Formats: sequence, structure tokens, C-alpha cells
Amino acid sequence: MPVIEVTGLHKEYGPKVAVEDVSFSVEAGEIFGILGPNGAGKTTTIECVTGLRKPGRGQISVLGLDPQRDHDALREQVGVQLQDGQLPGKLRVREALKLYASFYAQPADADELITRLGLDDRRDAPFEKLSGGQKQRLSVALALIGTPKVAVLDELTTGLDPAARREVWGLISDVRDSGVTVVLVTHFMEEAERLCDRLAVIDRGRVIATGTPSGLAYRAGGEQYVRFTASAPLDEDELSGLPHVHAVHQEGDQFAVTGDEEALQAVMGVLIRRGITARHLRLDQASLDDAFVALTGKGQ
Amino acid sequence: MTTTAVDPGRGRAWRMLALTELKLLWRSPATLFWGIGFPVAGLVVLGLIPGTGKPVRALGGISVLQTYLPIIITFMIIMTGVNFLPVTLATYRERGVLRRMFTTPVTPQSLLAADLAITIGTQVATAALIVILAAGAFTASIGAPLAFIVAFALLAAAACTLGLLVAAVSFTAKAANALGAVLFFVLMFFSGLWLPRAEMPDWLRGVSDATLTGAGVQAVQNAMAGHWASGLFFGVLGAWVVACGALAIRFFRWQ
Repeated sequence: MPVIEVTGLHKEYGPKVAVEDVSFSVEAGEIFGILGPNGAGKTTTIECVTGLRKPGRGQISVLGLDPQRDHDALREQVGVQLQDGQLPGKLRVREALKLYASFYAQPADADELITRLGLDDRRDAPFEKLSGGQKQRLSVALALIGTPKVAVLDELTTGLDPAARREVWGLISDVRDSGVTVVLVTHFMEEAERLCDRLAVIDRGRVIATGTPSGLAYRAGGEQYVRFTASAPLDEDELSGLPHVHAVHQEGDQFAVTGDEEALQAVMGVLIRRGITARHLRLDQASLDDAFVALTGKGQ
Repeated sequence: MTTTAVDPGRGRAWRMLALTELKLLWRSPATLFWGIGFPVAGLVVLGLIPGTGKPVRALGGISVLQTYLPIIITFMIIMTGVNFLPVTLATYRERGVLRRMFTTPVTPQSLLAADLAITIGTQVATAALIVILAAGAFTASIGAPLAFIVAFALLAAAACTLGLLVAAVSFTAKAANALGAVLFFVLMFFSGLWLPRAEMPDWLRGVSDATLTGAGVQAVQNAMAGHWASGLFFGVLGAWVVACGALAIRFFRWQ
């Protein structure tokens, strides 16, 4: 049975439709990504799933509970990190965790969580003195302090520098490995590609694709790009006629070949027969980025 | 949003919230100075000036100290209730602190209740300090304690509900700060801080009577002199509590 099941969710604010028709399901123990451009309806979807907003139409079940009807039970079991959720500036790390621990029936140990999230040397630091990455780690800690079965994390790494971002990513994988189901909302491609087991792409209030990151990327194109520098003269016609090769682009001794999964094999066959070495060989595949552009018709 | 009924586990959360808000108050020097230190220091300075304890004909036969003691108490109540309380709440709303609490088993109503309790607690403690100091060191005692307690309670309630209304209508913490500051000067003017009520022309004192600070100062002053003020002043204070409370509930937004 899925941990979260959303069917035909629809929500509008006055004349503005925020979510047109969204359905997806999240399995236990996975990191499920909700990916989409800004304003696609991601946050509204999450607010409905966590019971912060009442859906216009559609069914939502979280751990078998209705977020509206059973919200008291739900809040004990679902930890939420909302976008831009801050704390009082003078509240210290340890105090914040102790305070939030008192809200739950079965809280985690605050000190243990501090250690686990690498905030040991900052436990007595006030919130306003924390770096961006430390604030986000504390936010994750607050989402986990109630020992939830599901953690919902909204735009966790927006505004962080690359090092802090990697730090938070490592943390999310650890959370999943500890048995918590994670729902990760992001508009950041690399994040979805690296972290998510499965994801739903939302655009203009609709789910336009669901699957694993590599599955989505393959579906969007499935092409491979082979680039190399030839060690001896080679004519592009020798490659362009090959099976599996779709296009060849030559500039001096540099070649760029586009083709299907077996294109590399075909190209290497010719090079070996001719005794030519491929220098600076690079093999690229369509990325989630390409998939996203193909699916939504817009770049980032 | 519904709130859970009686739940023993929530008692712990509530105590932690109140304790945390108290710690945050303690770490805010400006609040401590303007809300507590400055009014108490004002009383001490006034009390140490020779002759402030003697009756003055222009002030309606009471001393300068007796004129200003209710104003000092009012200053403290307005500062904490109409300025600090709404700025704290508006800041919490602006920064998503209230929104985050919606996702936990404890509602943001609890945080509001904790802040209200801390504000009222501060007002009671500071007023007690001022009253004890005035009676013990400067011979300005309270003649009718019960009338004083009722007047003080109504004045504090009116200030706090007005503060909640300020928080309700202010979109940002900055707006709450600005609105609170304007209200502070208007209300302190009508309390008689710059022009004692006894020296106001009749029409101006009439306006002052209808404000929560004018009515509050009058009710506290009479209690010090040993009698209950006219029921009209208590009625004015009660009306402010009801009106501000109703409007605050109508307009308050959690996010």
C-alpha cells in the first residue's frame, strides 16, 4: 500500500487555478521528488497533502489518513519543512529542538539529532547567527524531531551555495536510509537527479510525467552523444553511413556523433579497423535537464 | 482550525512555549529597558526630586507623584501591550514561525497565548514593583487596592487587545512597529504625559476620557486617592476590550 496517494487533486484561489489535476503515489522508504518550474503548483500540492490547505476536489490519503479530517493524528507522523520557515532570531539551536520535541508524543532525542545533523559545535548558537546551510539542517532536524514516518521537504536547498547544498543532500539520503519516506519538492534538476528514487514532473498544475530520473531522461530522447578527437585523418562520411548513427558533425580532427545506444560500438568498430585512436573520448546521455525541457517546453 | 481539547501532553508543550518566550524576552535588551527599566527609573527620578510628594492646586489638589504614577504605569502597559506584543507576533507571522507551527501537533494559537501570558505577566510584575517602590520609598500609596486592581486589569486587557488588533491589521513587522509607535504617542498624549489631564481644556479632557489611556489614568488615579472612579471610565475601558478583541479576531491572519 502506498504511503501517500493523491488522486485528481484540484485547487483554485478565486479565478486562479493553482493545481489543475494532480495524481501520484509515494511508496514507503523512497525519496519521491516533485519537480517543476516556479509557479507550477508544487507548493499548493504539498500544502494540501500536509493538511495546511483544503483541496477543492480530489482524494488525498497519507498513511491511510485524511489530511483534513485526521490532521491531529497526521501531524504526529508527518514532519514538514516549509519553504522560508524561519525561527526567532535569538532562539538557540538546542532550545529550538527541545521546544519542538515537547510538541510531540514520541519525540526523538534532541542532542542525538544535533549530532546526527552535524550541528554539535553550533548547539548554543542563536538562529540568526547560523549560516544558510546550518539553518536548513536545523529545519530538517525540526521536521524529524517528532520521529515522523514521512518527511516533506519544500525547496530545501534554494539559496544555498554548492558546498552547503551537497551537505544537505547527504543528509536527505541518510534520512531515507533510516526508514523515513521523504517527499522532496524542488525546481532544481541536479537535486532531483541525484536524490530521488522516483519523481513526478508538475507543470501548469498537471503531472506531465512520473518515473525514475534516468527513466524520464531516456524517454525524453534516449540519444547518446559521442565526442572525440581522431589521432589520424578521418572523413565524416565514413561514420555518418553507419547503422545506429543519426548525425555526425566534424570540425578538423574533432568529431561529434549523435546516435542511439549502440552508436559508440559502431563508431569504435570503424576506428579500430582504421587503426585510429579516439582521444579525449566523451560519452554523454540525455539528462533529466533535457527531459525537463522536452516535457515542459521550457528551459530553466 | 480546531484545537485539541484537554490533553495532558499539551501542558508540557505550553510550559515549554511560555518558558522559551520568557527567555527570548530576557535576551531582548530594548524590550527590557523600555518596558521595565525606563518606567521604574522614571518613578525613582521623579520621587527623588524634592517637593513632588506635596499636593499642588493646579493638579486638582494631588501631588506631582500622584499625577504621574498612573501615567508611568500606563506608559509601561502601552509599551508592552501595543508596541512589543504586536511586533513580536507580526515578526513570527512574517518569518513563517506561525506557519511552521501549523505543521506540528501544537497550534500557533498556543504561541499567541504564550506571548499574551508573558506580556501580561511582565505588566503585572512591573506594576507591582512600581507600586511597592512608590509606597515604600516615596509615600504615594494606593488608597483603594481593589479599585486599583480592577482599573489595572481593564487597562492591561484593553492595551493587549489593541496590540492584537495592530498585529492583525499589519501586513509586516515593520508596519506593526510603525502603527504601534503612532498609537503610542497618541495614547500617551491623552494619558496626560505631556499635558496633565487636570490642565487640559474641557473639550480635550472629554476626548481623553473616551480613550483607553485617559480613562485608565483616571480610574487608577481615583483608586490611589482611595475611591472608585465613575463607572463611566470602567465602561470606556470595557468597551475598548470588547471592540478591539472582536476586530482582532475578525482580522487576524496566521500567515
